[in-house]
Amino acid sequence: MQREPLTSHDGPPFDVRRALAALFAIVGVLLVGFGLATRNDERVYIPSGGVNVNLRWGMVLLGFAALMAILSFVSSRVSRKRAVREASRPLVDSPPPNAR
Amino acid sequence: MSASHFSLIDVLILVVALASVVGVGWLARGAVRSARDLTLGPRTLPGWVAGVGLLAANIGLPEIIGMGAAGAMYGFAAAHFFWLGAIPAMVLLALFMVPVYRSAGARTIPEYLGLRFDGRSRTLSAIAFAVASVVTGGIALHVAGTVLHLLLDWPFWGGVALAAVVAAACVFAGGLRATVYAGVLQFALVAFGLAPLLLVGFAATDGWKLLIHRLSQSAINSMIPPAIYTSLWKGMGHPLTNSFGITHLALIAGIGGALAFGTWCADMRVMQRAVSAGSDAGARRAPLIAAVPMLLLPALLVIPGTLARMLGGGEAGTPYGGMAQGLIPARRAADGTALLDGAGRTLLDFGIATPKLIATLYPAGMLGLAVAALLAACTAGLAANLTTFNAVVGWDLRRAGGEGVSPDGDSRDVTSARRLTIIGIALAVVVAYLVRAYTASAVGMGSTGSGAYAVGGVGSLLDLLTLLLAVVNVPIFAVLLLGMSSRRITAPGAFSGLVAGILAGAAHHALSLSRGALPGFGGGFIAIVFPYYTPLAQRLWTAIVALVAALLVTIAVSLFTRARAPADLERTVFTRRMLSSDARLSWWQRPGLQGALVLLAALLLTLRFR
Repeated sequence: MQREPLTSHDGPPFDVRRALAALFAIVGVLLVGFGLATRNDERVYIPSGGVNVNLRWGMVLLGFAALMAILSFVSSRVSRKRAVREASRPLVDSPPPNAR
Repeated sequence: MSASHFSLIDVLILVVALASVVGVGWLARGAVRSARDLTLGPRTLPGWVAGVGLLAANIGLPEIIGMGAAGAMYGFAAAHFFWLGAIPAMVLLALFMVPVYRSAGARTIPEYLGLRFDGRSRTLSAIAFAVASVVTGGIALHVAGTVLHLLLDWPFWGGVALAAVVAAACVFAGGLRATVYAGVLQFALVAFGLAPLLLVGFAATDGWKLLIHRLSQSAINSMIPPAIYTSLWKGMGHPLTNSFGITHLALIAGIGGALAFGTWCADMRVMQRAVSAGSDAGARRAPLIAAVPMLLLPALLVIPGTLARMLGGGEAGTPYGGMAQGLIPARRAADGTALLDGAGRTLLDFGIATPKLIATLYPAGMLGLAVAALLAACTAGLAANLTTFNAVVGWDLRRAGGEGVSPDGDSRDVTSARRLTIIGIALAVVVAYLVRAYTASAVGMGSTGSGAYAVGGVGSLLDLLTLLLAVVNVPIFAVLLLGMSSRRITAPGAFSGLVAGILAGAAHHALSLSRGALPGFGGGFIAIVFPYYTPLAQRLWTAIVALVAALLVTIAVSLFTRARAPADLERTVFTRRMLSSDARLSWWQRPGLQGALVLLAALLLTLRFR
């Protein structure tokens, strides 16, 4: 089975975990901020039975964003180390690029 | 029911979420040099991205609304659609079918059929997929317009336009690759937007034990078996003692067999995403990775529907004379009168269970996140249908006519692939408006005819989706399965099997009807030879008939025609050699073991709620 060269179709490497971290950090901050601003306003939380679900869930989202950011950071460091190791290896040892 | 408390904070969250979905599609687009990049996508994705992407493609807005409706209508038994009706099929896809696609180098299901059989099967299946993807996309748009109208009082066209623009923008930016990455974000939005429904919902219904108690009480008050809403397996002996209206045979062969395999093993959206993983092992692991959240999705999608029925006095049982049960209102005809069945009981509008729960329980803030989740789900499913449409029309159908996308860069091709996206979305919008015109007229009809299954409302659209699966995907699955398993299956056999499956399914639909329904789109428009208790039972048997007909005719015709030389079938029929890359993995990384673990988990879960 043939495999396409990475360069022609792949473009720059993209880590979706960073995007997840960014999205949920923004939404988390919005929810926590709104939850704090409305924490004494009982009318807002009549639907949810008095639970300030914005504040609580906003913090969960911030936690998820932090987790994604950490995972992304760790994996980018691992792959950078690997790239350095492979670059320093003598050429004879490296397999031909098309070998699978 | 519109949630009047939709405010500035909700608009902000909605804008941030949708902008990030499109933005990620744009950032992740990679290099779009040729139409092939757009329509067929890369083979470079990490396995887990492909896995979450394929889940997002198959859990669109109609599925979220449909599973909420199923939770309200059937109770916990709706979990069968996940544990019995998805997990085994996903494991078969991962361990058996994906290796063959990868070995054959097929980018689409019709392309595989062309490689294994001939151009006729390729063209027929490509046409079927093209039609199905446009209709499915149109239904998703219709549901988006309807749900946003109910939730936010937006005009119908507003929801349709927003969903269509976001989905088309993703596909336009970077084709398949962009939609897979955007799908990961969309799935996360769905999970985080809906999960708090359980927290708040259980706070309102006083917890899990009391929910079960209320469900039993509701069944007793409706004079049906007490475990009907809380048990997955009890009462399957007779159609009248379970909420599906079916027996064990239809449960296993229909939900666990024909429909499951049609949904997961012969769906272009799923297949395209699985084979786009960067390595063979990653491609096989993608469906297994998707299966893990699938184990938990009943909690996220089904339970909200059940909660909606039980919140606020649902335990009183099935209401009479147009009263609501819990949060679920009566279905109403165009003139506003409630629809009743023959015994005077209210016909409930189960399709709006989940949106209704969202509007009732979420304060401003969370409401915005939930609306973002629903729209994200809609655009994910829609974008997946657009990529399918692009691939089968731009690759399989035009190729058959001598043109089609060329493997190397050509800017003319990119323009024509993007033009296809515009055509696809335009057709889907047309379908959405046709469906709207049809349901508007049918609801008017329902007031005179009524019956257990008056057409109209969101619920019957989901039945239409199931019907499409039964007559399109199920026969294609039968031919794929046989073609991948045996070298003896021939090209004439495959083509006649496809035709026979499609025709047999359509014929069964035309000759069957569920109790109390009017002949028409719901079936029975030629004659009513096969009566069923529920629309679900009718759909399941349509799928089973299509599967059996396709299997039998394919085998029979193959026996009387000459098979291709074994050398031609090296890459397109399953052999253990296709799994050889496993030898390099450590034992816990092997897809076989992972598949077995997922199956075991699904089995334990169904037994837990037996």
